Amino acid sequence: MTDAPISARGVARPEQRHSGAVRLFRRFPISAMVAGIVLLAYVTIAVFAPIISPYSPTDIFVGSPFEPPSSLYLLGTDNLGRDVLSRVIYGSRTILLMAGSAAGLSALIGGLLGMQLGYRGGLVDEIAMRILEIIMSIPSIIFALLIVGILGASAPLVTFTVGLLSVPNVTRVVRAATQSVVAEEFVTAARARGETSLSIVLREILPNVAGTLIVEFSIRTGYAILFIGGLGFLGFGAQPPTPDWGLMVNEGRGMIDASIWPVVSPAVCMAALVTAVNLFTDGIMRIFGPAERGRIS
Amino acid sequence: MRVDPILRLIVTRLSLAFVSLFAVSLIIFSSIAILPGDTAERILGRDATKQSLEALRAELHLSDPAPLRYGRWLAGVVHGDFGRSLVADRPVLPYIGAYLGRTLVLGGLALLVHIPLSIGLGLLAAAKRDGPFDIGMSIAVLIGMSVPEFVTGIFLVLWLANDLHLFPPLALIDQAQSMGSALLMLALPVMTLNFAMTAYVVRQIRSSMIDILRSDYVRMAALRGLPPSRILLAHALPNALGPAINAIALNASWLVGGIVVVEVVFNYPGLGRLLVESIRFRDVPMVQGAALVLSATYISVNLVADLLTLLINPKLRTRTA
Amino acid sequence: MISTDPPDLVVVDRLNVDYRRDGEWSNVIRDLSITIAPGEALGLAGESGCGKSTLASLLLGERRSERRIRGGSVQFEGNDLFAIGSRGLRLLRSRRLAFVPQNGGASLTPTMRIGGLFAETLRYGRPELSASKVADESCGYLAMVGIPDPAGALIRFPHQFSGGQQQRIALALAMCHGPDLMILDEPTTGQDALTRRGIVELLARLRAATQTAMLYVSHDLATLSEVCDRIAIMYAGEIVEVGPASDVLDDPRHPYARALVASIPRLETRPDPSKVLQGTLDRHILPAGCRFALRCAYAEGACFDTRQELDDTGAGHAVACRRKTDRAVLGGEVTQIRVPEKVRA
Repeated sequence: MTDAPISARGVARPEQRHSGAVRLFRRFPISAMVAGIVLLAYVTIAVFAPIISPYSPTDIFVGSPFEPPSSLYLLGTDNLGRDVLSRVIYGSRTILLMAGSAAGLSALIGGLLGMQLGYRGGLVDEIAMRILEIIMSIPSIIFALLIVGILGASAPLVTFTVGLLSVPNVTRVVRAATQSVVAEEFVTAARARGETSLSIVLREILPNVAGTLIVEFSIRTGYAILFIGGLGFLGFGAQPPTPDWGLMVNEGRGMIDASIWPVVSPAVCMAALVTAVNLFTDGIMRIFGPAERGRIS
Repeated sequence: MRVDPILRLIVTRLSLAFVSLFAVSLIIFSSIAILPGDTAERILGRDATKQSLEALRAELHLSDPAPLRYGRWLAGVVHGDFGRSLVADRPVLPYIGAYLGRTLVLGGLALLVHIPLSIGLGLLAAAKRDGPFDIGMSIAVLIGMSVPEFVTGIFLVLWLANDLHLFPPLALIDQAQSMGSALLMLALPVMTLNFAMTAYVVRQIRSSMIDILRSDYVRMAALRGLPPSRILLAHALPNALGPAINAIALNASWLVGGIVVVEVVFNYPGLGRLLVESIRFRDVPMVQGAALVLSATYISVNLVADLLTLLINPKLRTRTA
Repeated sequence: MISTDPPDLVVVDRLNVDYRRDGEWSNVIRDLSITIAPGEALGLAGESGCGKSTLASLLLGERRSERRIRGGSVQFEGNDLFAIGSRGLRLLRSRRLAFVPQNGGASLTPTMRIGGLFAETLRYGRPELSASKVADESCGYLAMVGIPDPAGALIRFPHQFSGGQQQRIALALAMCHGPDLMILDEPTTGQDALTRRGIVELLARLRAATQTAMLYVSHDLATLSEVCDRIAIMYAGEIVEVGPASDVLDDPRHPYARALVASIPRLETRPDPSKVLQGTLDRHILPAGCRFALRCAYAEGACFDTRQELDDTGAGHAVACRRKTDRAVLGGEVTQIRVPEKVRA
């Protein structure tokens, strides 16, 4: 490794760049590729919901309540006669938007914070880590329930809260990755050249930490879907009439004797979505290398 | 003055736990009190009469500055006075006590099953690596990690309770006639909790166990002609316990969140369900009390797990030469 | 002719082993044959990557998924180590075989006390011993390897000892069940000079007392010369020269062996850094014939094509080189291999 030229822009591990796309894709398992396709399908359905969906998700009594699946209503109808399929399709919009934004938020803030802390070190880093430790010692669901419960649940608030609660996790991982990058020679070289901190962070550190960040984003998305789903189930997610999968499961389970479809459909969709996200995450972890062992929420 | 390093570690962890608890109480209080808008109005709703608003404000001393209210609440808590429930019009603490007890029973039972189950499965998966058991295990792990616990719970109810009639669909444990029927009621919630918890931990244990099985000392044990059972039990397992407890401890956070949802699914009269309902009813003192007690439980569990991890490590148990 | 010598302890017969890396199989040991007689100390020398550690591992009957035996056999006391089944192998490992690893400390289970490790080894290795005897024996062996306060050491954990002491404990554990064959894989590499000396002397005393046979794997010819009766020199998975230690060291015939021997630091002459053997062992580029040909100063056309077999030149000194009797080679300047710093220490 010492023989490899240190480029002016100092990208670490130059031989990985040259290992070729073939080597890269050999490591990406088939299961992850299938998962990626499934995810793409979900996103497509969410984007084209108005076109795909046979009915409006909020129109009540398009059919009689608790109709079994038929050619008219592929997944039957719920207690208010709404088409379950349409609600499920629009529900994908809700969950993908919320979870994606939450994960994006935590990746953005956590990434910036982690890079800054990892780069600077010193007293600020020590204090910040203690604070993060204390924040992480609070069970996040209680915190989320408090905020969302007292302030009044709404999609934006839930998204914001879930995103914020994941910031410490992302920060920790990015900080660790940054520290190992900072230890490399080219950062010292950049400093010696007199580059500003901001420039160093953006040009030298970010490209090398990007992989870790992408993996974290993926992990956080899966986690956010579960969290938001749970909150929705408890009634603290997106409010009716917006279709929310978690809420649909809760609303339907009291009347499960009448029809199982209003419960089973969103449940299966959510489980399948998270499975796909997890498999995909596993796949990209193999490409970008394990930043930290142990994926736990 | 020489202080036993173990003692120093314990004291450090303990103080950190206390600081966390303090911070938690602050957060709990301020999330309710310092939020924008009028607290009384938020509790009673927009349509509340002026009189009821005034009465509530007086009762909760809402005109006092926030720090003073916090101090008063904290002082009360330390003395065991959590205020009075706005809904039940009863002192909060004894109420919480009963509910906490039931949550601890459920959580405790879940852990009792979870710990040996996940360690056993993780060890087996590592020992029979890449075999059919291991592959089956990784599929089960994937599903366990991906399916939300309320979905698992509902499916288990549909299948085992409604279809097969093996267990009751609801865990109304305060109506249980006997220990036997109580345990039956607890079976499904415990299964639901374990399905997700075990998934995360098995993955970790398997991974650390694989590292251990590849280690120099396990190789050496095999080269000394020891039977595989002995190697696993005497050489591998003790070294796996540390990382295993670590993994289980890291997972404790999930249990607190998961148990809230599971209690709602099964209508189990525990602290988690109480918290959710008091939030819905805007019963502020109850919410504060329940949240604080749940957080304290969570912090204690983490503390215990932390200390266990440290104590199991022989390097810390003995003074180095 | 009926041999009156006792049968060899170890017989390796035309062993061919491949190794898998990144999905591709490549050869690591080619058509190798060697024997070890009872009570004999055989030294195995060669640079990193020559396959000596692999051979040591095979002599213990170890299977690895990334390794396959394409042909040949490894026999210990008449047993084919890869055919006797796990129970038979365990029996041999607990009673007759012993292994001393390079990193002694890492081979001691961190959660077990030293006494526990000994008790376990002796329970399977010498089951006739009573419990009190076990403790006595353990103390005895610990004292023999120079661990102070053996009784106290029994209740301590591995991490409470220094690296050198851990190495000695590993050695004691390997001796205590009285094996017929001890395999040592670079036991003194990475140890301080004092420990190294101690272990070498210990091994000498052990051999004198018990007639334990040894396979001593090392790249350090100097140590091998002190401990071993015979020395075999390996290159790229083959034995290029083997014979009585004094013969091989005083009169090496194979060009590689000559370079290796010449690079041993001696008091009178320091190795000449200007005469350096070119290149390194690259397993991807090996000629079909003599594998050393690419780096050999005396290689000719035929060397690249014809495989060189070990040929006895008398008194058990065998060399695998077609030019072994050429004056040019024997009288020629000896090129020295670039020696890693730590051996010089």
